[in-house]
Amino acid sequence: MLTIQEVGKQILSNNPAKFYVFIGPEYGIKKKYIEIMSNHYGSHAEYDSISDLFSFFKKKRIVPLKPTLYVVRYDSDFITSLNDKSEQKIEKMNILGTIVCLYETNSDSTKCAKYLPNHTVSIDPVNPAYIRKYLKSDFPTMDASLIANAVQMKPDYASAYSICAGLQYADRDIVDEYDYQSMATIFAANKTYTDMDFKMGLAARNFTYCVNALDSYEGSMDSLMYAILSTMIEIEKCISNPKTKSPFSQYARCWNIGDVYNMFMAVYSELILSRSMSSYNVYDGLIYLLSLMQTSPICSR
Amino acid sequence: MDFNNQKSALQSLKQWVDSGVHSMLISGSSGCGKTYLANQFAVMKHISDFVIIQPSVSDIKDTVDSCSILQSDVVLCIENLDLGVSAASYALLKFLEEPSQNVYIITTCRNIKQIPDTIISRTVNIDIPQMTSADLFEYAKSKDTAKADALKTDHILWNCVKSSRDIDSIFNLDSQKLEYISGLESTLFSNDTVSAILWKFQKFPDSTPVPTEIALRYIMTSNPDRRIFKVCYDCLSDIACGRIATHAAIAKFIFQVKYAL
Repeated sequence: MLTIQEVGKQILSNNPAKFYVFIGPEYGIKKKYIEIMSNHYGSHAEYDSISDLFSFFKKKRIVPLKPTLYVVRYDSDFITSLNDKSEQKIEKMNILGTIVCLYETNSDSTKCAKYLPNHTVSIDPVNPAYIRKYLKSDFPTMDASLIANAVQMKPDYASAYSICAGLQYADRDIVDEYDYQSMATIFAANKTYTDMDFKMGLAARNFTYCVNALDSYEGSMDSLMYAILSTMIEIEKCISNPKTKSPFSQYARCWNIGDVYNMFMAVYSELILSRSMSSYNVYDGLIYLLSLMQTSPICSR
Repeated sequence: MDFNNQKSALQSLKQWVDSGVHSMLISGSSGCGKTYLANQFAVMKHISDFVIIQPSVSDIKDTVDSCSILQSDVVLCIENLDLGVSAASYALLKFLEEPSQNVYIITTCRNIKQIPDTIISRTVNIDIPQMTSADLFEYAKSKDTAKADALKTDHILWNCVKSSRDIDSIFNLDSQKLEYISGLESTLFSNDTVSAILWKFQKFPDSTPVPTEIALRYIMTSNPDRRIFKVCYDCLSDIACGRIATHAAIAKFIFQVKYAL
């Protein structure tokens, strides 16, 4: 496999290869390299599949093509079609410009590394030092300390870039008044959600808060299903006995017994489903369950 | 002790012992004698090392790896593989495809449908039916004749017994605890909250655990309402499948009785 340094050198020196496969979760770096190549060629085209693109190149033309950046995103058929002859086929293809295929998961990278080792690069979360270097070139007039803070708050390139993009338009005098903690609060970078935070958000029927808690939750997603069940049991207790001393008592008024019952049954059904299907996506299941509480009455299964 | 329900399984076992088979899957309901049968395999093969391991990926990998460097024969019994995560089944696959000469793996499961086809196709399968009423009475008498006779005369409690484990549980209960179990049905219809009822279903007043499945079967047998029977049955099925925490299944049962019937 290619290293990110080799690929970076090719792209940053305006000498990109004909075909790349970018794999990994660090979307910000991929986007950056795509923008550089797009500026280099002066044109950019998106295609749904590699096979469409190869058919496009095979067509005879009177007017020759201009070098262009071609981007194909998450074409799973291409991964399935990879074999020992794929690399040879790509080398022989008359590509004018550069083709970039984007993938995200490790399962795709194994096959690409095996059959396209000279074209595949894994773009994993980058060392913070490199992120600071990239951001310094993106925001040359920004103070290094602000860039360092942005990277500390969100140690992935895309999120740190967004913070810097916001900060660059802020008045420097005002920004200087904020210490790191205050800035982290503004950019929601210092909140890690616990089980209790999630349960309280659920009891309050605060969908937005619960989704934020879900996205920042570091524990097991499975345990959140049980957290919802236990919250419903607590709320039932608060409704049945208003004198109950519970952290959820203040939210009992947001619920009625019918909604508590239907929510409990919905979660239980999803839990059974999650245990029965290996392809069940727990995150999607939780989003569905959280969306139920936005209506009253909650529909029964 | 050999029971009627195990006779044909033991016959099958004897045939496979001499055939050189290294991996076996024994299926059957809880308490029917799967682990006992696995132990009998070791006895028939004159292997003294019989190790029971839990269906977790790390336990399976570590144990199989450490057994492969042993010189002597060993029988590993992986209990209830269907209750483990699917990764545990796939951790076992590597061994089943390339078995070590000195390691014999007996896997047990309650529900063979939860076992991947790749495991079933690579093992010899033996199914043990549930213990019969006569088997259960024989087992009870072997433990305590007087208690066995008393249990048999209590028709409702006798109908709650499905396995040797149930008999052990009931024999460990005194008359106060048995009375507590028979009173749980009225608790369901009280004004208590779900959490209070859930607590009562799980703990005796002295905080020792209630044999929940026996309690549910008691309610199922003694209450004439078919709706109660259905929710009890569903709860017991969910507990038996092993993929839902018991307290969650009981909470659902209580919610249904309180608010849906």
